[in-house]
Amino acid sequence: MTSITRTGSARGTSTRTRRRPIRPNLVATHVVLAIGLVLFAFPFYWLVVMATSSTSDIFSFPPRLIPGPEFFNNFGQVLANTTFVQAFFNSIWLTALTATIQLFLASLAGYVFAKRRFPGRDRLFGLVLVTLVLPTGVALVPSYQIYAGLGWLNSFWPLIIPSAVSAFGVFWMRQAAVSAVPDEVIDAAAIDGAGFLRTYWTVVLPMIRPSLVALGIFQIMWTWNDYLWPLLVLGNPAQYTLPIAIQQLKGNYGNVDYSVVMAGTLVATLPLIALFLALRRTVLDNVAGSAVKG
Amino acid sequence: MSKIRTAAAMGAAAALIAALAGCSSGGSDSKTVTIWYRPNSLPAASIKGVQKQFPDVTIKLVKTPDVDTKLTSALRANSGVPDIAVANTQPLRSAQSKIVDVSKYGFASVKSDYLDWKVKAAQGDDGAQIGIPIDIGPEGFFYRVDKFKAAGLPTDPADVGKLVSTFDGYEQVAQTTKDKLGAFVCDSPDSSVYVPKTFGQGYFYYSSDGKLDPGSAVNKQGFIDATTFGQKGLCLNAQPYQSDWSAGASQGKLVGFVGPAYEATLLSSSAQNSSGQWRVTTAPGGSSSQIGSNLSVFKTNADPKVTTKIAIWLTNATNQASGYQTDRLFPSTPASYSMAAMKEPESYFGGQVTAQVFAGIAKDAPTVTTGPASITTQTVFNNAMIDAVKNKTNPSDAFAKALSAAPTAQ
Repeated sequence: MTSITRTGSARGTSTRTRRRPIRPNLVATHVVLAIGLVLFAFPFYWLVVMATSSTSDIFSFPPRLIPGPEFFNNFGQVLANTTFVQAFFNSIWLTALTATIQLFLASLAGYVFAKRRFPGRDRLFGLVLVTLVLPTGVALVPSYQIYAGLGWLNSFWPLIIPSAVSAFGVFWMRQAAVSAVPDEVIDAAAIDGAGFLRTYWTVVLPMIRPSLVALGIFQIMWTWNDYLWPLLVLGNPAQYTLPIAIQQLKGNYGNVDYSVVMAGTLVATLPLIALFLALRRTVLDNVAGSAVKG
Repeated sequence: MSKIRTAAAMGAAAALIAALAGCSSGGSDSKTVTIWYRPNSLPAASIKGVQKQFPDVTIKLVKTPDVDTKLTSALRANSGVPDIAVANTQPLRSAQSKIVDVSKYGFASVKSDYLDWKVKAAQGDDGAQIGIPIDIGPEGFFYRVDKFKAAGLPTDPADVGKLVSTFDGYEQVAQTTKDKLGAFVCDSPDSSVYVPKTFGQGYFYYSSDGKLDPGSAVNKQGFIDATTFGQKGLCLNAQPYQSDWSAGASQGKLVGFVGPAYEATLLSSSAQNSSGQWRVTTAPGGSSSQIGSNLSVFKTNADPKVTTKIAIWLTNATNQASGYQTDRLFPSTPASYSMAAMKEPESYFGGQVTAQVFAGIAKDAPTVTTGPASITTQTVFNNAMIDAVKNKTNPSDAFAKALSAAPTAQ
């Protein structure tokens, strides 16, 4: 950046450049970033304010803009009226399990579609892609019927099996394998005597790690936030996942105690935030990496 | 390397088995009765006491949000349907063949315990009783004493009730609070004017002989009057259960509104700061009531007599009376109204016994004829009214336009 400025000032004839002026584009960048930060962070901040105030405080004027003392009171009501703790546990293991299976199967399929040659490969991949364009709503009732026929209603199977591998996951991992794994490396592994699974595990997987992490975050978010499908197939409050538990706070005829709902939502959001913070370097590396390769 | 693979595979399998150990598949036999209910839709006493009351069957209570969505999928797939559910009765008419006509299994003998109009509203085609009444929503006029005093209006519920007994009187009160306080006694033209006007005449988009009738004179007059009321700027223009309604109530901009008994929960959570100032009295245009909820019994259980008996017990007068203070479910059983649980003063309403105000309204409310298309038709006219108030369109033109967009079949 410095060298660019020097080049720029060398071209200019004025001596004023020695004072290292505040570059307008840098100021503009920071202003835009600051506005963006406020825009993106404010809803979360507001969530914190709502979760720690009473509903009446939220709606009074002027509105309360700093967090209040009501969080434990609100969260106490969440615990009293829902199966929150059980649901939190259910969401954690279900999300971890589906993400693990999805990452394994999608990366394996993606690698095969990208690097292995077999008759009909591209057509098969096309078929997989076609399923991407089907809206989920269309599949809802037929899927329900299938799982009802299998006798899997009121169990976790209908949440695990359909998300074991998705068309999007396969597509994502195939693109990652195409761009990140050179054919030469695979050939070299073959010459060294590595078999199919060994090549996948020790050669391909480490090379597509950033994409794996990104897909993992997507999958975790999807499972964590999914509401409608679990609502339909789970039949026992002890099986409920977090979104359903939080929805239990919505009273008869649509009455909502906002601050109580927000207290539940805040706690339900924390694992995702913690996860993103822990993995942000890998994710950002991946974004930057893709941009360069782009 | 193969060791790592085997270990990984074994680990994954173990995790899967451990995770699924909690899975169970449901199934209904005559000894297990599954009940689906929305949060707060059944009196707490019913939920606590039902298993003790029926020791011979295992009762599985499932508190679940969005029961109607869940039930629609289950009925469509003909699988996973519960034995009893709190659900919107009218949309269920299309699945009437899967619902028990409870009048054949013991409801006929207790029918007179419930309000007659409410029993009728829970009937399907050919008079089949497809719902057992739970609560109803008698419409009252909620108002704030301190604000009425400041505006120079009477504050006693009986006096206020008299003042707003006609829509002209109501409009004058609305004008006074607007001029003197800049505050509203109407939340939206729809809920404060249109609903009492049309429900007061037993109209919910169906004629009394059960035919869909959006072009009726009652609807037209109600629509035009409510829209005109709104266009005069006398309403806050906020729908109940939306955040601007709660903000209006909390900030003292909404100092009165017409609404069903169950909106007291919404009011007290939104406007804790005006606790003790609110009162309830009779609404403009005479008595009217929202229909409220019902329990439906499904043909999933081999013994519909037992399931019907359970559903009747859940909604008996004693249980319903206990549900008023705790869950704001207003009973559909008149015997409840004289019980002690419904004679307790409420501090949020300045010590007023609101149950007694609503009891009188509930008894006098007319039978509202509803049908499968009531809700969808309501949405069309509601949206048209909101637009007409906002854009100041001629109310008659707006009505004609809405009528052409309203459903006509059924």
